[in-house]
Formats: sequence, C-alpha cells, structure tokens
Amino acid sequence: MKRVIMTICLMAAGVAALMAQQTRDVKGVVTDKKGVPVVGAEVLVEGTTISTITDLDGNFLLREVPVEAGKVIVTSVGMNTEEIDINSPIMLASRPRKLSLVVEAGLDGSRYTVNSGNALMGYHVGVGLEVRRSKRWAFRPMLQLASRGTEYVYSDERYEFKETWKPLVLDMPLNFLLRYELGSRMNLVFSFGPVLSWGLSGKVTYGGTGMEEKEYEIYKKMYPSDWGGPDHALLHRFGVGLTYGVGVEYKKLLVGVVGKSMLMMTEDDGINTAEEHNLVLGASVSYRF
Amino acid sequence: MKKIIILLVAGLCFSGTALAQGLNLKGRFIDKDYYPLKGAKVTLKGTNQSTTTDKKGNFYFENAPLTSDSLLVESTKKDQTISSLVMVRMDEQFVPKRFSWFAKAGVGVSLISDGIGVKKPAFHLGAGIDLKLSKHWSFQPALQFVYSNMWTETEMDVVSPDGYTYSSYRDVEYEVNTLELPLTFALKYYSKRSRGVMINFGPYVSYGLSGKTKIEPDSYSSGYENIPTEIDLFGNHFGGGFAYGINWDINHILFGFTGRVGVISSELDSRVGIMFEVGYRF
Repeated sequence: MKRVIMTICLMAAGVAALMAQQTRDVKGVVTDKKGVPVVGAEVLVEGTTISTITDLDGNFLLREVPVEAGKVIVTSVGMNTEEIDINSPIMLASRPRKLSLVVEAGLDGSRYTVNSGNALMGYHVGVGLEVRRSKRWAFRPMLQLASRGTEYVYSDERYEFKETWKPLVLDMPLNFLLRYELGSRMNLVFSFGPVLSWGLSGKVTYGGTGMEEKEYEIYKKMYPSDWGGPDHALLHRFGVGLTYGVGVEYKKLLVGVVGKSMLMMTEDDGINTAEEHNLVLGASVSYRF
Repeated sequence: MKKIIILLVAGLCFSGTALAQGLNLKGRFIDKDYYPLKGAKVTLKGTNQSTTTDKKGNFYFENAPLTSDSLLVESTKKDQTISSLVMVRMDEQFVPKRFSWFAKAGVGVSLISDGIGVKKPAFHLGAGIDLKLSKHWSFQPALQFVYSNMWTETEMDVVSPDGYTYSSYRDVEYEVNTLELPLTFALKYYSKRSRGVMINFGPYVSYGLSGKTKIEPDSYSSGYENIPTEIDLFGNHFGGGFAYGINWDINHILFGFTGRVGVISSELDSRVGIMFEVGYRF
C-alpha cells in the first residue's frame, strides 16, 4: 500500500513538473501610440481559448500558455487589431548591426567557354559593405580586383600553339545574401546578384612551334581596324554578368564557393555584341567587421 | 501513519498548483548579429533568482514573483536591464472623413505635340474636394488656374521688299492662362493613418482665359514682315483632355507628379504637360 501511494505521489509530482515545463506565463502591457494604457482590451492566445482583459493600467497576465503558442491577438474597440509574436527573441542591443565593412579574398579557376578555352588559375581580392536588412536578408556590394583569364591550346604531332589571356579587372558584384541558421553561431549563406566589371589591364601572350612568342595588350586601343577606322582594343573594358555562391558563415567569417558568369564584349571599331563568355568558379573567404 | 502519508500525498499533489502561483517566464536573447546569446547570466530584478541562457540563448524561470517585470542580463560586454513584459502598441482605427478639402500648387513643363522645348516653366494653383466613395476610391473634383508656356518653330514664306520670296524660320511662343476643372478619381493606399499613396486619373475640361501667340522675328534677315507679332490665341475657349498623377501623402502634406494630355484650344495642337506638385489635405 505504502509503495503504491509513494508511486502515485512520485507520478503526480512528475506530471506537475512536466506540466510546468510545457506552459509559460505571458505578462504584458497594452498602450496606444501615445503610451496611454488601453483598458479593457481583449488579449487572446492564438490557437487556444486562453484569453484575458487588460486592467486599468493596461496590464494583462496570461497563465499556462502552451510553449508552442506563437502569437497573441489583441483587440479593442476603435483600435486596429494587433498580432504580437511572443516567441520573437529579444535583441540585447538598441538596434541590429546594419552596416559592416567586408574584406574578401579567393582563388578561382576561370575559362572562356565560347572558343573552348582551358581553365587558368586566377584570384580575387576585394573590399565592400554589408547592409543587413533582416535576419535573413543582406545586401553586400563589393569592389574586387580579379584576374580571370583563360588558355587556348592547340597541338598535334608536329605543331603546338598556346595563347594565354590574363586580364586584370575591377569587378563590382552586387550580392544579395540569404542566411539560414545552421547552428548556434553558424549560418548557411546563399549569395547571388549582378556583376559590373571594368577591364584595367592585361596581356595576351601567344606562341607555338617555330614561332616567336608575342604579346598583345587587351584593353589598349592600339590595333588598326581593317577598313581604316579608329584604332580598337581586343576587348571592351565594360562587362556584365552574374555571381552566385554558397557558403558557411561562422560568427563573422564566411567560407564558400563562388561562381561568376560574365559576358565579354569584343571591341572592333566600337562596342560589339558579347562574343566571349567567362565562367569562373572558386573558393572565397570573407570577413565582416 | 496512513494519515501522514495521505497528507503528504495531498501536499505533494497540491504543490504543483502551489508552484504555478508564481510566473513561469520564458524568453530568448540574441545579439546584434542575430546570433543567440549563450551563457549569459539572467537575474529576475528584485530577487536572487537567476539562470544562465542555453546554447540557443533561451532562459526559463519557474515560480517567479507575480510582480516581476524586468531582468538583469550579464553578458561579457556589459550588464543590461531588460523588460520582460510583452509590449503591445495599438493604433487607433482610422475612419477617413467622407468629405475633405485639399489645395495644390505645381510647377513643370508644358509641350505641344510638334513643339521643341520650353522657354518658361508652367505652373498651376488650385483647390479641390475629396469625396470618399469606398475604402480605396474617392472622387476629387478641383478647380485650378494654369499658366502654360510652349514654343515651337514654324516655317513661313516671306516676301522681301525687292520681290524675293524666301523661307523664314520663326520661333513661335504660346502663352496661355486657363481655368481647369479636373474630374479625377483617386485610388488610395494608406499604410498607416497618415501615410499613403494615391494614384489619380480622369478627364478634365479647361476654359481659356487669355492666350497669345508670339512670333519672334527671324534672326538673320530683316525687312518686310520680319517684325514681332502677337495674335490672340482663343477662338474657341473650351478645351480638355485626360489628367493623371501620383501623390504621396505624409502627415497631410501631399507631393507628387501630375500630367495632362489634351487640347487647350482648337487653334493649337494637342498639349502634354508634366508638373511636380505639392499640396495640403485639410
């Protein structure tokens, strides 16, 4: 008998403890725009029948609210109904960090696809800003110095020919970042956006069997046109494209894989349509201060 | 003995409800990078009850005093007092007035269909009423004074005193004062009580008050017929067309753009105009 009673006791205590864990109390205050308490407003926990009415000071107390409950709905005559998220975390700062400085560096493999160029190793280094819009979204415009070229190789038994393009460009990727929480201080980050680019300098070197190695400037207007018009360059300095990436952010350090798909305009007596396409894929590390 | 046990059972079973007399508080802290604040010490203000936030920044208090409304958070950076109350701010329901007045003034450009440019800016001044039709629609008749200035170039045959006929290109400037009655409908979207945007469009009729056509002398030849001329513009005083615009309303101050496509006078080609305008809603 004693044992049975003891068991019942322990079970009852256990159930009580369990129930205590699964509910919470929500205490709050309802005011209008000017901070004047709203008396007699109805406060209802969404998805339940738990409700109360605010007192003379606008105070309310909701007892034993299930922890799964997400919102309270506040209604009062002559007022717009408010829905308040009771699970939203409290930020221990007056406002979120909206602006931070970003530095970035990475190694890339780059190739020109239209005329089947081979991959050439390149790099990018950059600085930029991150504008955090919300927990999920941020805008991160960057300014990068990037080397993204290619290598064209032709060979048979008797003859070998190699042409290497190594332009240095100033890229401006306008990244949009999308963050998903992975762990306590870790995010999965997707990035995408347009890229504007401006060619700075660079050379094409080419040579082959029985040929002296030669060099051409890529962006200097120094090549006479066939029909006697003004001199032109090999590529036009301006380019556009897209960037996309995925990475993992730990605290403020982001490590990931980033790609670019860029259109390159060949220049022959003016800006022609894009005739080459530059595909870039590499690893990138960035840190925000 | 049995009695004692029963009492004990009763006591234990009631202790659950007795515990529930206090508040069970739950919350989560994050830092300015939206990361959870882990391992921070949280104390109920006015008591010595404290706990530490878990890996996800969560804290939980059982049996807190009913009066407790603030927390002291001690993290690595600095200690902070945070309210544990849920703050609800309510807005008064906005009941728009059925009938209200507004006044507007604007400045911009006016062009005729074969015109070249503008010599002087156009402007308008007026007032109207806003008649609420439904939640998003209202009818906004108004009365405005409009000054328009347009110019173009015309080719005319001029006979010189020695009998030659030559083509002369003359600047033609039109200066017109009209009274306009726009009968526009407005589609309104207010995000808050005092902030919104309205798109308005509809017909307008105009009445010409006065108008002049000034033909400037030709700059490179002189002589017969090459003198400034002014002609009264209006034969038919009535005109009209289509008016459209967009206005933002911030705390009763209106600003936006408005445009016209229409006819001022049968003597003149069709006119387009665009103006920047500001106003006030009473």
